Amino acid sequence: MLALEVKNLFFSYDGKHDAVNDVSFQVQRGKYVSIIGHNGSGKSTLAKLIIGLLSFKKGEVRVFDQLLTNESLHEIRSKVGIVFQNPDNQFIGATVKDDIAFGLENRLVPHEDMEDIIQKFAAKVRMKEFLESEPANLSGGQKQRVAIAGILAMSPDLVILDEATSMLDPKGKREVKETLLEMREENPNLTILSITHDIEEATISDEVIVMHQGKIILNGAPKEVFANEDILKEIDLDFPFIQKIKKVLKLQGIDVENLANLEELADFLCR
Amino acid sequence: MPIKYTDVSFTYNDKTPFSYEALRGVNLEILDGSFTAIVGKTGCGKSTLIQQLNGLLIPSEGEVAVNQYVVSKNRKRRTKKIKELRKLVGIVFQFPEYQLFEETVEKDVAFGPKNFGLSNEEALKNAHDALRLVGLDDTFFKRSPFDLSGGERRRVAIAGILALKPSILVLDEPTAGLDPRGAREMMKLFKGLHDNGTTVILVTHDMNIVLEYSDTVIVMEDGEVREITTPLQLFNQENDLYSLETPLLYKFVKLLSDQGLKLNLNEIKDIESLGAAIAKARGNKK
Repeated sequence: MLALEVKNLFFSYDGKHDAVNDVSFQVQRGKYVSIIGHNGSGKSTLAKLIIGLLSFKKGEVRVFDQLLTNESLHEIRSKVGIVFQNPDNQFIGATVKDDIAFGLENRLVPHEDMEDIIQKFAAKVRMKEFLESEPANLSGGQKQRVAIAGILAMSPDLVILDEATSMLDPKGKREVKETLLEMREENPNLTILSITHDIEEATISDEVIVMHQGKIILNGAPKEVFANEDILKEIDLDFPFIQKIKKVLKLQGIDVENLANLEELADFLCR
Repeated sequence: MPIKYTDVSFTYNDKTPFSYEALRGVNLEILDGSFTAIVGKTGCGKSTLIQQLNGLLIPSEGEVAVNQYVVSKNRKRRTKKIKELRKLVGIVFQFPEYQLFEETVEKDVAFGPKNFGLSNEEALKNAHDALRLVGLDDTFFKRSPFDLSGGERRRVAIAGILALKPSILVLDEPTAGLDPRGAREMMKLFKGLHDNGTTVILVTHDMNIVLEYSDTVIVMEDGEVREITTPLQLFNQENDLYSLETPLLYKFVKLLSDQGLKLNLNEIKDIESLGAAIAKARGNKK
């Protein structure tokens, strides 16, 4: 079953050039997909089109086999959670607890269940001791944690993260990803679309989509995508560390092309 | 000593139910001309720490001195010349692109210098210089900041600070959300300013940046300074002591060192220097 199907999607902000230009792709349910590309390549616009925050001028979006229309928008949004980059733009509640509760109230979660859900997800993002704090008093990274908890608490089937962990420390980033993967164990529908600049994150996802100037230029397993060195170089995207170190070593006359990971590489170099 | 924190504590919303102690007993010094990274988990007090540098936040206890200017609750001690201090210390906040407000890019960047008493003409000249410095040429000057992309807007916001020609530049996660190319260019810009004598203080979660650019690292945890060290020492000590996550490059260096390859750690700053160091070490072995 497809979690997401996008067909020939077009969108323009100014009516002149297309910010999203004939984009088509499919995501199987339960997959973890990274979308990479430069700022301005259309990644965030695409995310907003998928949840109907922007209306596309041409094309089709299906979320869990349901066509996105004005009529279906509400139902589709009940399955999709999105976390944006700047957490300041997405706070509603007077306290962290209220903020997480807001989404649950919207979903008509019974009041007696709410407390447990809030506690559970606040703990997952390590914000339990801040439940009574005002969002305004939190740091940038803490706000991002709360925003993520608020979305995950609604147990969406499709989670879109738009640079949602950009202000977290590396360990915090990893924990958020681990939480998502844990949730996927419980809910096999859970599909993750992560818009990211972190190339190493992209290498461990199931699939990678590369966007450039509004178009998808590469789409596939990380290994296949990053093998397209010429294309990636052309648009000046970064490569995974292992690929970069291999290249640097080759320039030094050390050929390690066939080694798959850093451990093998270290073994070889220390032989 | 240009920057000195003495027993600095800071509590948000003091004496209210929302009171929160963000800094506790901070003592530190930052040398003139250094490139200092401030690292630590989210919520450890990094952003609070830097906002004391130009009096935006006043320590609840203790004081911060920047050259002759003192930021303190004590009326007798604290500087009357806060404007001069703010000209000396330029702070670029998280997501500064949300603070743009003028009709054109050049007006937005010239706003600061004009506020500090420059004539319209001088302010515009400073603005143009600063814009070129951040890589935005003449074609951007008359455009509305709101028509620009996020990365371009951030450059405009940074130019707004650079137009004041601060001697101390403080940056709070300036590369968050930028693509790797944009981040690289941004860091190159700061390195250039540093090479020309500006003291740079950088709050970041990116340990690769810490390794490649900084000479001093301040590690914070729970509102306290845990350690003031160098990148080399920081990444060489016990794994994950402050849950900072060693840069991948340094993990690989450790992997090689553990297996007996003798690398000169002082030479390793980025991937190119690592490649050279590996070749050298293997050459030595043979």
